Amino acid sequence: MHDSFKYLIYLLLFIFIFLPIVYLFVSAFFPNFQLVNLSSLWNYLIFSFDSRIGVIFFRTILLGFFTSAIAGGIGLTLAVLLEYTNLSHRKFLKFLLFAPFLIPPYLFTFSWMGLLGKRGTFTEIIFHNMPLNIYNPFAIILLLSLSYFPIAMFIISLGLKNIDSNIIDSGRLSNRKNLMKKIILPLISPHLLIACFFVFVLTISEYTVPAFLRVNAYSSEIFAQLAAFYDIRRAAVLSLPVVVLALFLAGVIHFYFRNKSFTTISSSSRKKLNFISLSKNQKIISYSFILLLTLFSLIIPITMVIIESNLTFFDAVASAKTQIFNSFLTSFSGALAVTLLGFFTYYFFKKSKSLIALISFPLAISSPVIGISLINLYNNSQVPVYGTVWMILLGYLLRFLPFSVFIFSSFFPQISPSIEESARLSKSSFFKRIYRIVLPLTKGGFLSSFIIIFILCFGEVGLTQMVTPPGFQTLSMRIETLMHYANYSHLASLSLFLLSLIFFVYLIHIWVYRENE
Amino acid sequence: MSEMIKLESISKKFNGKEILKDVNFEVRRGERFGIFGPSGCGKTTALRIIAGLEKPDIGKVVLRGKEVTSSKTFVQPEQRNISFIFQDLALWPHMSVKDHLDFVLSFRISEKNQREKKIEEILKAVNLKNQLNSKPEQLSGGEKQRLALARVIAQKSDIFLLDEPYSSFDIDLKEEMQKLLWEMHKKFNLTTVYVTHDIFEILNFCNRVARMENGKIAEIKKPREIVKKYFYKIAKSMK
Repeated sequence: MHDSFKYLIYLLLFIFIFLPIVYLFVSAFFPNFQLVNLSSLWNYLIFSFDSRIGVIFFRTILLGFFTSAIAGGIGLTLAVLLEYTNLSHRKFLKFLLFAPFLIPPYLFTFSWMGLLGKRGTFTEIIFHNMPLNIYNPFAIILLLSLSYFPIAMFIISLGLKNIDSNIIDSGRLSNRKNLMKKIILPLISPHLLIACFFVFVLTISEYTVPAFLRVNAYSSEIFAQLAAFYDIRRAAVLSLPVVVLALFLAGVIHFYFRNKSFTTISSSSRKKLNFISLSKNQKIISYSFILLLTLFSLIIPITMVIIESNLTFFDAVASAKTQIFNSFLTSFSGALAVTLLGFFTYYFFKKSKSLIALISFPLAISSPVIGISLINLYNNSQVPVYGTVWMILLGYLLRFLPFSVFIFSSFFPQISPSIEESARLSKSSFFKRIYRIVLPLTKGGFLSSFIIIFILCFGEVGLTQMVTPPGFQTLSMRIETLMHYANYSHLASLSLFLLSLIFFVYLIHIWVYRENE
Repeated sequence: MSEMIKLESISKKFNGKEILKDVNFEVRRGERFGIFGPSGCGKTTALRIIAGLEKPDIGKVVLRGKEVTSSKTFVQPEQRNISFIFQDLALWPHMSVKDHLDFVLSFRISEKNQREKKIEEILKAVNLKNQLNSKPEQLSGGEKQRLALARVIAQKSDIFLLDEPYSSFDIDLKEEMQKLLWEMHKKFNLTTVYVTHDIFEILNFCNRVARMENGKIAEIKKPREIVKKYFYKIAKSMK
């Protein structure tokens, strides 16, 4: 049963993750599965990748590079502060600092534009007729760094937690001075690189933020091919370099770490560490850093949304009842499906080093292209899902599976393999082992994955609007539409509702997590 | 012999459970002091408190005549100059044998040539010269143990703490490693605290033993007396 279920998961991953993407590229290069004339294909590629596209591609890579460096740096600093120092309320601060990741980047940018943009409150009050220029690549780097540092912090914290406390203690006793440089940093280097890689692929596939800030990024170019010209073939061809780059980087990481272990923990030595004893002044600096980050990534965006809503909150919510219900429906089912597949994917692939490459490559593909890949596959197939809500679920599976797998990766190492092996020797069936042994021990991961994916699905817009059936609209899609009509007050009210709901669900997550601990 | 380690009225609770209750003992210079007792009796916690890796709730720790832990003072573990061999050895998985020693020696020897000379000398002493560039995963159980020993020798501390270092070894390997430890103890004039639940390890290595029970020191005696009593207890229970 164990093996047959494993093959079923292989099959599901192939159908849900690989097939739509592979089919998109195959059909883009070989329309109608016919062998094309090589010279015409070459001409098409030259036509698609002109020098203008080259400049935009290079600019996007730079955006990704600098964003991942800044977010990775902030994430590393926070992870060390919150895992290894004697700062008070570290658990609370961890939850607080993860919250900005849950604000969809388009809402994040919208709120900052409300402060510093051309119609900005700050601009109008302080700099009359002198708008601050936030419409540039640097603003994108800063905004996306503020949006993505929590995921870097989460991944690096995982690495720090997984270091055997005895290994650190033996380093402290023998050479404290070089402990960070020679022991801790090399041991978490896989996590650090993966954190930067995650931020990099998320940045190069993000299209709403560059579009709002009027910077021509590669993902916006791909979106333009879809939205303005409905040229699926060109959009797919343009997506190829990004996917190849993501796979190449994943391959480099895989190659570099092929002989390195990601965890050093032994079941007997997992202890809470706070061996870096900060002085009073160092504590003040650390708290100020955390406060500044919270201010820029959480307090200012939320305050701006509240100000812009002009307190028409209840009217706006009443007018979007159907969209709110639809969002609940799709997010709930999406989170459940993603969590189930994420659980079994991690369960069967936890020993495989190709896991990182496997789960991370869809992240590099921007949401609209994922949408198009699904339309392209199911529009021409006998499977009756095209034009139904199932398309949204398939999209969420493709988009959010990596996040779920990563969440499970922080819970599974805590279970010693012998726990399950002993159950296996007692002749219990595969499902019984999962249900009675593995699930109860990873229920914290299950709930975390469900809630985080629910929140991500609730805010998702790029993919949802591509695959949604006629007459069906979610809350995030309505917000996106209002943005185009420049109805800012209504938009801010709905955004406020969306954020309130996201944070309410997040609070439930914190409560559930603490209960499970 | 002067007093090297002294524990006075040490108590410690973890999650409301009392792990150590009013523990008192002292270890003199050059002694091979054993702490013996069943699993969960607080042996490892006592050792970690000496190293400064845990803080006691109440009590005082004095090292080399200087107070290092009390209600007013706490000297950080890295400033206590103590060598510690952990139960799982805690080798650094990303470092080669040479890197392990280089890491420890770089703290007190700045010149690279001198460090390399010293590394060679230590590896010769523990018979690990051929594995200079091997990583822990490439070493056998005995070699890993030798590396752990080499690492603490490199630290050049006069206080050695060992937390059940041979619990997973077979009898032959255990004997070989104890012999090596004995040689090192003599050569470097160490003061050793040896924690174990194995009565034969106590008999083979220690010259004074504290027997612990439920977080308390039940008695401190010569190994033979402890062993005699222990076997008498076993024999009685078999009747």
